[in-house]
Amino acid sequence: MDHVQTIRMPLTTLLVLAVASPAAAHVAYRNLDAAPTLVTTTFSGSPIADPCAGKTSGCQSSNAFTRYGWLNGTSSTLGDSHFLTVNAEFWKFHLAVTSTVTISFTQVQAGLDPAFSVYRGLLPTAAHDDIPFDPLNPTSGGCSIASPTDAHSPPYVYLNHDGYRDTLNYTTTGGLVGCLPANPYRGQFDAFASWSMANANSPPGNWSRITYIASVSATAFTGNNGGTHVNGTHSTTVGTGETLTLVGLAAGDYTIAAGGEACSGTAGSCTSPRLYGTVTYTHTP
Amino acid sequence: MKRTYVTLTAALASWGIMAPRQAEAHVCNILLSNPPITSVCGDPDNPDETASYTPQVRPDGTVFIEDPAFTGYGWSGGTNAVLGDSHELDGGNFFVFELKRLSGVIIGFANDSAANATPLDTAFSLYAGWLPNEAHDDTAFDPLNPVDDVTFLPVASPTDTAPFPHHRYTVLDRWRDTLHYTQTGGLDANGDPIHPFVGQFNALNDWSMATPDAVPGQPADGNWATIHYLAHRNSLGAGGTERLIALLPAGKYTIAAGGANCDDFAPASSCQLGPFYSGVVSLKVY
Repeated sequence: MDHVQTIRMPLTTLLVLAVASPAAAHVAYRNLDAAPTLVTTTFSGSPIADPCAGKTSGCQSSNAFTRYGWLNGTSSTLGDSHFLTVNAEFWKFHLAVTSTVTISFTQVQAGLDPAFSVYRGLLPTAAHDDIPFDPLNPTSGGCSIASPTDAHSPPYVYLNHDGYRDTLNYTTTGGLVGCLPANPYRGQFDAFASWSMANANSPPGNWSRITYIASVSATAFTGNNGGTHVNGTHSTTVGTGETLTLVGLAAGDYTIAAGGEACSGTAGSCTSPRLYGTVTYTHTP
Repeated sequence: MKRTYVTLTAALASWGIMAPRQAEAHVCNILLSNPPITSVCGDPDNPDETASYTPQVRPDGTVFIEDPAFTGYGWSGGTNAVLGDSHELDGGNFFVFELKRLSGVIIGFANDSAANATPLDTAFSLYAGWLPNEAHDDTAFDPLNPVDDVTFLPVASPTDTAPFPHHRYTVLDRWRDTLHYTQTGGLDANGDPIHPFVGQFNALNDWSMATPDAVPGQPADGNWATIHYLAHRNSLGAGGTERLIALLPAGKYTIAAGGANCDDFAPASSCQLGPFYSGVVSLKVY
């Protein structure tokens, strides 16, 4: 059974940040305002009926979700944006006017345990983690240095999921060993806060930060960057997932980062499966 | 300077090369041509959101392009049993050229000393064929570490399993044993690979990738290709300019260029933590 929650958005907290233009490689948006691109096999090649069949819009599926991709984004070392789905898919929609939006993410194959986050703004198409303009764990002379895009101006005390990344002292991930991080960032995807990526064409128009709005998951919320979190439920059963209703969402572009929160660790049963899931959205008006 | 030509004609004779086609995400084939032609990569569904690369030409006709996104470990990753992530070479950029006739070529990959605080240990591999634009490791058609949909236990790769019985898999084989992982350390007590493949980039042998548009069980239709290893260079150490001089038949070729400064993949190793390096890939055709 879906876990359904409604959030009334505090409009004063919604900020418009950078929006992208030209691009090069990697992030691939699935457009929920467009007709669905039907996905007719599982990742392993077995035929599967796409739940989006027959719909005119508001529904896009993928067969490439990982079981851990979204969960990694809740850790202090964040997640690799490639591993929400291994095709680096994100979902997007555009609102012409302030609207009430309902988003659902449902597993069509067992084992995924869906969860998702919603952000205002778009990443540059084909952006990816760790670009010279927006590096993941930057160094100079063999030692860590501050991120040119994600550092907060001092003085500042970094917190987990605060919308910034301390790549100078790694205070939120375990500090330094010598002058290098004990636990470097794994990626730039933050499930509970705003985050940024660039593409190979940067700078500067091909970099953007998307602003955290809301999330729904069974994983406990540890964010420190505003927004609203809804407690979901763990389930790996086919047909289950999470649903979120956002009331008073301002006009603009939005990004959905959807993935699994089923497991973590290095076991193949966690890292290797690529599973089928479907994201849907409706809006009023 | 003594020039040693590597004649690769015979090795190429029997290979069919698949033509690339624009698809959805990741590999960007940057064409080295004289006169220069701009290569455009990106999402065809978003034509305004593309990247373009235009090489330059020196007075002697050498075509070259500088890129700032090489890692110090991207190429060396492809020399390991678990292979390398193709993203880590140069952010997914590969350098390609096409010969209309049998030609002598000099391929170079130089450290950009003006841009790099520490020198890049340049390395590259040359392959016959092109990968499809926007291909990447781990697609449904050509999965990295495939598993059964229900048990999540390893299964044979649909593309990289040896096509003949009793093949004895070896490290850096052209084929990948994703059923028993004999090349990377085998399976643990739960049946999971002890060391799954990191990527599909093989610096020393043939390898393949697909785009997300290639549908399992259907013809790849240009969205999957194998490129065929011809030679590699990495002998001069950091700061050197690696060169390959070869006589090549007409056809399409790919250069996979990256760093070999280090090969330590421990999570906090300085190898993995950067910096990015700038390098210059060049091609002279005679």
